[in-house]
Amino acid sequence: MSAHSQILLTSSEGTEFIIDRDIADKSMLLKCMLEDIGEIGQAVPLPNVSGPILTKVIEYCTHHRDDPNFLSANDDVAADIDEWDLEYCKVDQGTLYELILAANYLDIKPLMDLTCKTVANMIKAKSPEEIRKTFNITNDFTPDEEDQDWVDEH
Amino acid sequence: MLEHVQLPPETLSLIFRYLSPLDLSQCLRVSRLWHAEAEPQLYRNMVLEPGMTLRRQVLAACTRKHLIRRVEFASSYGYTIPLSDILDFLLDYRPPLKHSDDAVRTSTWTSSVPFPIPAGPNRPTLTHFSHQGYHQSWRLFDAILHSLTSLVSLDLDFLHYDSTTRTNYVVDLDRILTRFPRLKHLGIIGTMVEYAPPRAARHEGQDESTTGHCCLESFTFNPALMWREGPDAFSLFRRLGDLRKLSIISNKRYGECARRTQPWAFGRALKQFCSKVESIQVEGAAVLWLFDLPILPYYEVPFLAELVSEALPSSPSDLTVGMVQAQRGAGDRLRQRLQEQEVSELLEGRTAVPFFPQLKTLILGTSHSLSMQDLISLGVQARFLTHVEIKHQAYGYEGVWDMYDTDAATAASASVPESTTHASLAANNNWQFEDRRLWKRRHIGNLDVILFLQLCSSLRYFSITRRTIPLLDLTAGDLTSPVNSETSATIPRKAMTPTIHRWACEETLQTLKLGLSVHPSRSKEYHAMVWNHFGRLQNLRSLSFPMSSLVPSPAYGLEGLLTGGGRLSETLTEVRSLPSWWEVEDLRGMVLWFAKSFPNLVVLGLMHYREQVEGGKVENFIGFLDDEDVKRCSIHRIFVEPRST
Repeated sequence: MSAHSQILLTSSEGTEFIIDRDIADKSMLLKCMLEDIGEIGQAVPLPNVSGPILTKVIEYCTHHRDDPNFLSANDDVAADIDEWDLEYCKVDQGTLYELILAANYLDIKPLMDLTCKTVANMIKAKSPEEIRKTFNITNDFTPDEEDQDWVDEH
Repeated sequence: MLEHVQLPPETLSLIFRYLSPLDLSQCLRVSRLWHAEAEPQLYRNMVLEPGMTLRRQVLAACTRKHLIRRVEFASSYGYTIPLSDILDFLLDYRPPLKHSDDAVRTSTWTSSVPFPIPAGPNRPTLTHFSHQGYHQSWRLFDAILHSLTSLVSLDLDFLHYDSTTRTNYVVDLDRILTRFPRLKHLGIIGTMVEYAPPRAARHEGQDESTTGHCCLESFTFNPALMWREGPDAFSLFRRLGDLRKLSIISNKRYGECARRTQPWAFGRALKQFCSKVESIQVEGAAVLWLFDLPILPYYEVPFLAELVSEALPSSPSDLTVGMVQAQRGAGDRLRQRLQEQEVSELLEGRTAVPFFPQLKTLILGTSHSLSMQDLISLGVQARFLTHVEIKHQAYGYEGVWDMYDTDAATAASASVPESTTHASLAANNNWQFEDRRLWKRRHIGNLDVILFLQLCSSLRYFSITRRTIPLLDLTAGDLTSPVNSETSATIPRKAMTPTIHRWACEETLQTLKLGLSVHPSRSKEYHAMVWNHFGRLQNLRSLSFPMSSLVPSPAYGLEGLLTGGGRLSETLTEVRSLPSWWEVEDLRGMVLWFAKSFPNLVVLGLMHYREQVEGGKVENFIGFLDDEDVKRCSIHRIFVEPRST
């Protein structure tokens, strides 16, 4: 195995992270950036991602670094989530939301799929009132606006 | 917790993509923000079938049509979504109808629609459109279709169950490619579609609309497109330089395809114009060649003289006469030697020229036309091939394609010194000239499949179904070395000590689906040999052996899976053997052995075949599933389908 070149990332608080190039390539944003401007000695700043979240993201990418199906993630919503990924998502709600934003920003589709599916599973099969409770949302409809949206399609 | 973290609004639309319409409709009522974010997702995809009258009426009345992005109109026997509905949903235009709904099936109102169609304000910006069915007024359908210029994906299936009295939809592919500049995927198939002849054949000069480059990446068509003739037959593909995926979905009959296709011309055109093709899928009858093989005049066939003299000890000096005599005297032998020599040449890889050098995925359906020459050449030359899936079906007729590349043959025979002899021999349907390699393509046999596995080093997924390979062929030894003329003429089928020669794909193969039969008279060592061989596959995740008599039992050397040198205990996640014809006494023990030896095994599928016991009592051989240990073991899904005679 040839030695991987390494990338330096800086989180929003200024913490530095060194990761291998092939792990960084899991993020389409970083991959394109590095392809365009080549190797850079300076760190890549990620002002939208905090240190703890970046740690979690790197953990995900490192675990999946050898996964051959990583980039060909399909839209199959019903696909089962594997064990490691399930454990990975057992974090508090705040962290989970931040992970979604980070995965979106860094353009890591499989992580996006995973985190969004996890939240979607929290919404599934719940009534509006139950959803409001789970996510602590206030109902701002006026009583007569709560009309029936009739259309449902499969 | 005193502080609840709110779901960031920008994530809402991302999350809603993963919800079903039912859940989305619940989200609509949660709050205003959720309503605003969920609604586009709800209307994004629309799938309609003809029977859904009520739903269609509701949709027609709704003002949210502009949110629609993907539309799929399915059809069922004889019934298609009416054109008036299509006009309404896609263009937000309602024709002033004097008649009731049923009357819209006639074409009188369609001619009253103005062209271009005035679209309404709620008109959606469609990205994906999929339509299946038949309409009376192709003109109107055409007009609707050509106004959807934002399309990224277009799928049209012009099927109709009664094709006798209807008119075909004639599609001008050039015009479609020009009209939809963002199109990445195009599929036009069906019984009622006809492809208009290429533009260049119809007009004097080339205009802009036929030459622009398209970003199309995936193209699905029926084999009629390959029946074009003439120098500009495939000029369409000149525009598809970015094409990655080719799919041929056929509803034609094989005989017609064989008669009308010129697979060499098609292949050469694609090689020239579409060099990025990496995925090919063929379903139904179509003739597609993957390699170009040169045609030689008979006197340039290497070693022909030696082969003739081998077949006929007292062969005359005139090669032509010799060949005629050899045919009468030892025709089979000569033919066989010619075949072997052809295989040797293919193994050297110098003569076959690939049409699709970047090929990664090959999926073939039951009436496929994959020839032995193509398969061997793939094994030798394809550097990127990772996925091969063949649904095989044995043919009733001789598995040889008699496809006569007239251009090349004419060029070859033009250089023959005694052209009269050649012509007269060919005219007599002399088999030497017909059977001479590189003109005829032979259907794949079991040995060819094994040879392919021994050659192709990049394979990750290999599946060949509806074909069972006998153990005899699997153990035929090393097929990759060229045939030595000193040894017996045939590829050694009965090696003295049967061994399974190594496969080139042992490091990369992740999924294997292969039916294997072991004759009942064979001892258990033979089964053990196969298991040991599978144990060599370093990265195997899924193993399927359908229609097999290979016994997965520790008594038959199943431990070979662990001792073969691979890492199956880490990688194996699926084992399936459905349907199968083996018998194992202790199913419980076998299942527990699997659970213990392969901790990552998730699926174990077995189909047990056992004759019904005398007296009509069928033994309960799935009773082991109720066993406590079996229920608690680490395998998530164990299913057994019992089957009796």
